[in-house]
Amino acid sequence: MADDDADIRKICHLSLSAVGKWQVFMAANGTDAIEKAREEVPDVILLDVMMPGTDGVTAYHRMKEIPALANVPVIMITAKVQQDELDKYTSLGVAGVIMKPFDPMRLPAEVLRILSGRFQTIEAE
Amino acid sequence: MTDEKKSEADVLAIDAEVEAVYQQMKRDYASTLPGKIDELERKVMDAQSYPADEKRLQTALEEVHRAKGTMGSYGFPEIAELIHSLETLLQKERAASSMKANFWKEADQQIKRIFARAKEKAAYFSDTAGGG
Repeated sequence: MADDDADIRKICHLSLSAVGKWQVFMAANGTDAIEKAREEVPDVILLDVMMPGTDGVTAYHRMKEIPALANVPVIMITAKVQQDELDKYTSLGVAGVIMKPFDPMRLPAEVLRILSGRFQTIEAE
Repeated sequence: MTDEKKSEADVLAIDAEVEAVYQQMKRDYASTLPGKIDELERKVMDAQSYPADEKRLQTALEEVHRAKGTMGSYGFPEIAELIHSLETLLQKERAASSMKANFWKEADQQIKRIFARAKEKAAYFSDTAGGG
């Protein structure tokens, strides 16, 4: 999970590890996220859109160029935006978009809901 | 994920210990709210002081956008809404490229009102450790 905001990382770590019971790797920027993802090859990647340096969209594109990460679902996280911006993210091919503010206690369920939809889509193809 | 068969019902079964940690995190965050609002105000005033400097406005907008999401995620939607209205105002300012100085002048009272209200809310949440 990558976000440059330490407060968001803190609450996401609690949510994903304590509520979701998942092993979580945190990154503070896009570059760090790419490196951690390359090392760990996670089951899912949560990327904040707006990060200094390598932002979420750039990190997403770079991850997709890495063979080991090409099929790892990526969920973008962003503060509430206009529909056209939202459409821009979904058109990239991400698994889903989670909008901030989110309920930390429901975040793992939201991740599962998105992944469930993605897997259903793949099965239907 | 360690358990691929985990269902939504499983992850919704939040135990009391996790809830207690979350509430403590929320209280800790609440205590930092007045400082965060002050910092946002500094960023916006900085952009306002240099109306021709696009970078300062962009910095202010990014900080405001980030704060909106984080404050809401920590369970302070009233402040997040106020910050959202500030963001909308700043976005309008960015769009009004030919009349920046005038725009700031016109928006000044609105910005002051938003910050006054946000400070009031932040102080309340800080004093009451998250609003009770």
